[in-house]
Amino acid sequence: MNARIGLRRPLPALVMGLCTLAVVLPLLWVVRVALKPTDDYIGDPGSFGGGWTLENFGHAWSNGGIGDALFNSLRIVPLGAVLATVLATLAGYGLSKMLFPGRRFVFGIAVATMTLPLAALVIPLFDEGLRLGYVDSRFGLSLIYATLFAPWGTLFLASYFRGLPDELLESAQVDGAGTLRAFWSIAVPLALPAIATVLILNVFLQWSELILALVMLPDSSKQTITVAIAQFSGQFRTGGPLTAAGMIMAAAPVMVVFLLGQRWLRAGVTAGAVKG
Amino acid sequence: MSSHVPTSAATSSAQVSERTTAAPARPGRRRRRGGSRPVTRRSERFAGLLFVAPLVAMLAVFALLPLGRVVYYAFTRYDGLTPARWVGLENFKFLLEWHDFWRILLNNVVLIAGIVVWVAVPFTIAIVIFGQRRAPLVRTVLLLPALLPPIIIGGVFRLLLADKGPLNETLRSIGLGALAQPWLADDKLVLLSVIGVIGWATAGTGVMLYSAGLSTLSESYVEAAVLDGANWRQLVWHIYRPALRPVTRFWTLLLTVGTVTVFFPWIYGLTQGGPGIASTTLDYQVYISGIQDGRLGLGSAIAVVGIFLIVVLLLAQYAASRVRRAAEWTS
Repeated sequence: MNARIGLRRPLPALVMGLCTLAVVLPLLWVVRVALKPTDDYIGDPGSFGGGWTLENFGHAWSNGGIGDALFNSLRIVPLGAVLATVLATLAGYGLSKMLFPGRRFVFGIAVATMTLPLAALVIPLFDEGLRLGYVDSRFGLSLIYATLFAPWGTLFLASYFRGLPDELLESAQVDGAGTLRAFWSIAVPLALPAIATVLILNVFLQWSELILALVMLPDSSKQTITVAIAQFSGQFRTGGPLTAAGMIMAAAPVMVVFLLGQRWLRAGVTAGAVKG
Repeated sequence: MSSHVPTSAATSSAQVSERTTAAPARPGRRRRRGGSRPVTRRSERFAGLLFVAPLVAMLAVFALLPLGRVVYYAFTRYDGLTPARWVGLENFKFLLEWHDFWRILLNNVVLIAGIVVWVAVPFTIAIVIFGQRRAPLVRTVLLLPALLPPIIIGGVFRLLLADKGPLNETLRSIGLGALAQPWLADDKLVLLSVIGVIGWATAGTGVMLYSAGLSTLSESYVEAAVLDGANWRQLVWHIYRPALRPVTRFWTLLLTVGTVTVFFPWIYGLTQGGPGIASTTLDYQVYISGIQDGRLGLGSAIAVVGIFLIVVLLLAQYAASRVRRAAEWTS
């Protein structure tokens, strides 16, 4: 298209080159710093040279608490993501395929929650959590995540379910299947790619969440991976290499989830796109 | 990328395509009149309620109740230990007279203005690289940052933008030392740096959305314009910009609810609000005042201002699209 409108050849190539470098160089730099002995880094934080070592990863894992934090996040996030997906699947189906009083109200509160700044909920959740005992509870944080990350999934899945032909569900009911049966044996299997998309993106979003994790789990032995990274930079002011190693280990699990889930994600996208 | 709404690729593209193919905004309304709904027998009205009940119950406990509380606390003096005491508008009066608060509010406005950059840059990149042989690869590379939590991206750029970090050292070594800056330590520059970093992280998603939009665009518009002798700039402004407006609207909305509602992890990772308060945002100050300083009443008042700002922003976007649509109809 561009060639036709007389955009000279070098420009697109130049832009593509710059974009690639702009993304790759910073990431490569982090890997380089993570492999550098701390002394070399402090002496010259801006140079690519210096020695090579793997020990930063060990230090970050044990002394830096990355190991424990990963374990905490693994206890919180998968549960929170599955619960959020379950809530979203049920509500998305209800909102799109059934009529009931107050449906628009439910829609409204889902949208409202989605647009609410998380920081706005932090103070009352902390205060209420102290009273009801879910501060410093990893399970409590899972429940909070499940709730606050469900609304977008609900709207996403509602729009997906809406695309399923009513005749399908109808025929199931003619055959004597109840509402639950139609939902479970027909709608859910058909929506599986979209449900997987919601699950995977929820893992990612909850893994990245910081402010609630910071406030709701003050006990440092329960801190999540993002909180550990956040504290890291404070504790090890001079420790560029330690921070870099910690960040790589913190990012690794999400990268794995995305690599594993890529096929599902793509299916979810195309299905969602065709839906119309 | 950081909030409770994914700014990430997959959902967005699905939703964009949904929008461009004009899905009805209000579900089921129209169909209901058609009367061909299979699952609306009387007994199943309650089934519908049962399906949404878990979500509604959870939202009530962890979102609506807290929302009510934060509004209430905003009008109280409260330290979390002794009972909250109603003080009327005192917290808001305090904020009005607190000089720092105006700077914090200004910081938020400046960062929100960053939306222009976060939209314009991906828009331009997408158009320039569209149709190139290696464009799919570049688009994939650009999406990598979208997978990283903001706190990590903040950490990455704190290494890169440090005073003696690689960016400044490189500039110095190639004789451009004059361009070397205290990127995150200068109170005039810091917000621009934050905007740049968020732009770096979100560009890939934007490029992907715009590319999806471009691929649905009919080439005849472009051809006609080229035949009429339009140059590249005119083409972008008069053809691509209006044609991609649905994408722009959606991407702006996504940035608003996905990034603008949660600057916190970016600020925490990059600057911790500094230097001084030069990059402190409302949500960061909610954390400082409400949690760290234990002034739950004041923190809540700041949170309410933050909610207000988002509502105004969303209403403005809604109004802008309505006005534009009205103008299109009448012209």
